[in-house]
Amino acid sequence: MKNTILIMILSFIGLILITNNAFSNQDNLTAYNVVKSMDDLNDGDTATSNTLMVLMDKHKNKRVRKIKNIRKDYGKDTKGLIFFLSPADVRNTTYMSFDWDDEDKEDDSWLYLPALKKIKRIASSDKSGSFMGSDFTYSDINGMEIEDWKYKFKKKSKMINGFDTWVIEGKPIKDKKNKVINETGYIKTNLWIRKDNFMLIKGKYWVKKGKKIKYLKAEGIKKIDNIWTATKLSMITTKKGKILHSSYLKISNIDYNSKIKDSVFTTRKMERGL
Amino acid sequence: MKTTTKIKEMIEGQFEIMGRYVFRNKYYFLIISLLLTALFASQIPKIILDASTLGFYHKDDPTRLTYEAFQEQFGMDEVVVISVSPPNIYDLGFLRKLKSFHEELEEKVPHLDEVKSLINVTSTWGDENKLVVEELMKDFPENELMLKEKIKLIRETPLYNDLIISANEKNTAILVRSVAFSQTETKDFDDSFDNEFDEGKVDDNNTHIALSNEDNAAFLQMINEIAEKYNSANFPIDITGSPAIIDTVRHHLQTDTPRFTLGCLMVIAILLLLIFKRVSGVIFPLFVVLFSMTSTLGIMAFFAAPITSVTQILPGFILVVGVCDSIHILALFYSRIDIGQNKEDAIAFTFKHSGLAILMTSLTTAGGLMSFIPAKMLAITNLGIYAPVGVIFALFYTLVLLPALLAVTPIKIKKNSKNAEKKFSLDRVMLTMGRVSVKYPWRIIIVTMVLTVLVVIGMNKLIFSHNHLAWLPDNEPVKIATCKIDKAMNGSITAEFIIDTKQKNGLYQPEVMNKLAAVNKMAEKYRKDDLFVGKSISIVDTLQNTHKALNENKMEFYSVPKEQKLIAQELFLFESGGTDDLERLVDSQFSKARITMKLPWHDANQSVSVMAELETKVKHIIGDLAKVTQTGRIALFTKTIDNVIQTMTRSYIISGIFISLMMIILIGNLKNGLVVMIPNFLPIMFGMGLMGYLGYRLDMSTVLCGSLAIGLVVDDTIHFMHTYQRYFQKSGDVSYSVEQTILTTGRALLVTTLVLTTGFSVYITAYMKNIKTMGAVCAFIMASALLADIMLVPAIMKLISREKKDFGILENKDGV
Repeated sequence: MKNTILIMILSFIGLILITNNAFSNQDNLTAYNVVKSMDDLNDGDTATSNTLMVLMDKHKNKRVRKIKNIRKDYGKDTKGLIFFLSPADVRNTTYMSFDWDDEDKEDDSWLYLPALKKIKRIASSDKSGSFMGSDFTYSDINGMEIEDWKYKFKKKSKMINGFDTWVIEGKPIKDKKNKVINETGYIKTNLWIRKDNFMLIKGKYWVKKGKKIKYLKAEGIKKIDNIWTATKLSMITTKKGKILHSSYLKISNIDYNSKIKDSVFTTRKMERGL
Repeated sequence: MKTTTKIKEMIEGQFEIMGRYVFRNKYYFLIISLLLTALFASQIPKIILDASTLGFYHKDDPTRLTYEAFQEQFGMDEVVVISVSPPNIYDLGFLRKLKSFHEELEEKVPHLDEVKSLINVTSTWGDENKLVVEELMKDFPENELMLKEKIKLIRETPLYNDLIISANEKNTAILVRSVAFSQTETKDFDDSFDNEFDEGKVDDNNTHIALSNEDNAAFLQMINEIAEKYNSANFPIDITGSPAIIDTVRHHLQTDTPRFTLGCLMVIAILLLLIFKRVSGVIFPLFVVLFSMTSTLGIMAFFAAPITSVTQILPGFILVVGVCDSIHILALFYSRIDIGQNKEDAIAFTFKHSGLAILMTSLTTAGGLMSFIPAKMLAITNLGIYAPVGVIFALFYTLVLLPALLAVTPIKIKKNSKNAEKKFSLDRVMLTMGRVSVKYPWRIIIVTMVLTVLVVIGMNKLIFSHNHLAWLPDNEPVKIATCKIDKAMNGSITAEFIIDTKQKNGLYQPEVMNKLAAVNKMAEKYRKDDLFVGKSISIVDTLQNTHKALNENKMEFYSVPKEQKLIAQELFLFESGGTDDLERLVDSQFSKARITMKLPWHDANQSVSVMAELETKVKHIIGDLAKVTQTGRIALFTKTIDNVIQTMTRSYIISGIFISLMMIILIGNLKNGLVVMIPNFLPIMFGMGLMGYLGYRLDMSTVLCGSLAIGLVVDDTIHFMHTYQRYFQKSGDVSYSVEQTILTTGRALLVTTLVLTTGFSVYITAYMKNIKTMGAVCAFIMASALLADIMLVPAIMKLISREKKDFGILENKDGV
């Protein structure tokens, strides 16, 4: 599993501080510039948080998981840990991931199953797969390679919940199409990006497999430690207008830029637990 | 007796008045008939065609609810199985083509849920350090070394055996699953987006509209088109699975049934022309049939009663009833015209003579069929409602439209039949038969008894069966493919069981998982006669495979972990691996699991006992740990067929009793009424005996054609007895009465029998074996019914009637 789970969660959490002066004239921005600005938002050098993950099926049956996330950036590389706090059956199950910026280097990830008392290196190149059984994929969490996409404005202005947004349509660049579909599962996206802070607040994703459409919503957006952060994320998977399932993430106890020891990101720490 | 006679005479008098009234107000009644039919016709565009098995069930039927809940949870249970048997499965060129085939199916097939094959089947494996959960060919092998690794993975995964790849590695399967429910775009979230997300506020906007026949046909047509493109000597493709089989049957039924109904109508028209030698004698009965059919279908559309595989018998049924009613009017009417009566008198006479008989036959047939109404199955209930509606419409148009049409149309006197007493040759044959019957009643009875014994022997050879595949000719591609795939992959259709622990995470219990493993073992050892379970799959296979992968892929770890926590964590790991396989195996709460058993195609009748046995065994193994429910399309189908056959057989018995009572009332004598029922039952027994000797099977379509048989057989006897009694009460002489009956009603009986027997014989040339059988059996029953009425009824009457005197009628050729 080429997952970088920690980064994934936290790259969502940490969408970012942007200086208001980054682009003095927003009218001159291209769609790509807007997406790039969103992608470049500051998410802190380190972050810790707790996440409540609620998975809901079409019958509204819920499954609730509580997670502790720890992330640390090493330049453009990132290391992350996810501890499962509940439910009891999976408590202390731990994922660790190293996400390398170098595309030629495969990301590393490990899994610790306390009941098996074994650490296993996980190998999967499928970033388009479901993240922890949720409606989010690994690529949703980890972020997409924006260079692989071609963006254009669908609407230059659209008010969403009192915020002016750009509506941007993204399609894979022709010769990157297979790579993009392979990595993300998507054939098209629409993004609603706030003009005041470049935060993504709404997304629509066309999934190739099963011809599904997913809808993302980011809420509870506030500055934490001067970093724009979405504290509530929802993703609904639909097919032909019918809801298949949905996922809801509520992120709390967010702490950016605290000191985190390198020894945290070791297999020993996984075994010891929190 | 006298009271009965008086009542009859009174009613006949009323019919005479009615005949005159209709004649005098012909335009009024024509307009009424046209308007009424137009009104009903306006509803026909709304008619629903529902060929789904679910369409048999009432909406609140527990079987239907269970199946719908199953489909909503796990999706469509049945898959189209595409088998490819190349010279070498592990050839890179072949795998590339397979990938391309797989991707094209995913891209182009409408109403698709998923495609599973070697290309994307989930692979879970591990070694000392590593664990991989991904699609098998996610990294497509580009060289022999990579291919070798994939081959090793395939061979080390028991789950793939006979599911994706055959044990001898000569066949690989692509499983194509359609969505379970119609997916009309009902909501675009773009606008209502913001309200949809709040936790707990997700709308349940899922509705249960099964895929239409057209949707299913489009789904299969595209699969076939793509397969055709890839099919070659090195890439030989066979396609089966119950969706493919049922669609093929449905396609042939939909093309065969209208084609042969039309053929049947044309033959009937030609015969009517030959017999009556009048255009009106052809057109008018067809008008009655057409108007009755239109009105019945309009009523069905208005009340949203769908055309199902049960109610599709209605056009044939209305054809029989409508033609028979019309012929009884026309035969007598023309004979009166030919002797010089004016039209009004001819209609009045015909109504007086045959009106009551037509009314009685209609009421008897309608009443008999109403015995289907209390049936548990909606489709049969609908037959019990709308077949009688059709009968009543046929009666209405026969008594109103037909005389009005006759009144407004110039009817010529036929030169060659000015002498009405001149009987045509078939009349003579019937007269001779009647005379022989009256002269040698005991011999006729003895011959009948001998024939009955032979028939009973034949009936014992009858097999209850319902096998769609058996309906198809032996060279039908899907039939050949099914045999091949069943042999290569140990089955192509599936049976489903739901194991409900009734508690959240109940499936994490090792005892439950062990029981599921035991069920798989039991199932894969199960065999009854030539039927067996080729493969049994459930969540435990995924668990065991994951456990093995976490333990360096050692086969000794292909087992259920002992600890509940480990089970939970391993399944969590599998789920976190990015695959959505679990959605097909368990509910989101891990309280329910699905067990899928793969079997070769077989007779639904055989299924009944096998599914019951399997259910008992599964329940025995699972014990109190969980509730076991059998469901899935095959179980539903099996249950449906079993229910239809049982319910209809029971309903026929009830309708037999009802018809006997009506006959007793008509005849006004208990003993005679009961005895006369013998010639009613015998033709049906003859039909069944013939089926037994010819090796035909008693399936749903032949059971359904019983309703046609009842309609006709009873009508013949009622018409015969009604006229016979009229003459017997006057003369007290059996021979005279029989002869007069044959000379009046007999001709109409002969014409109806000739017309319908020939008409139904057209079906013998049909493509589908069941339609051939239905045509042959119906034709035979109709011919037997006439024979029974002409030869057996007179003999019985001779033996049981108290004659007043002998008119010496047998010597009087002209019958007085």
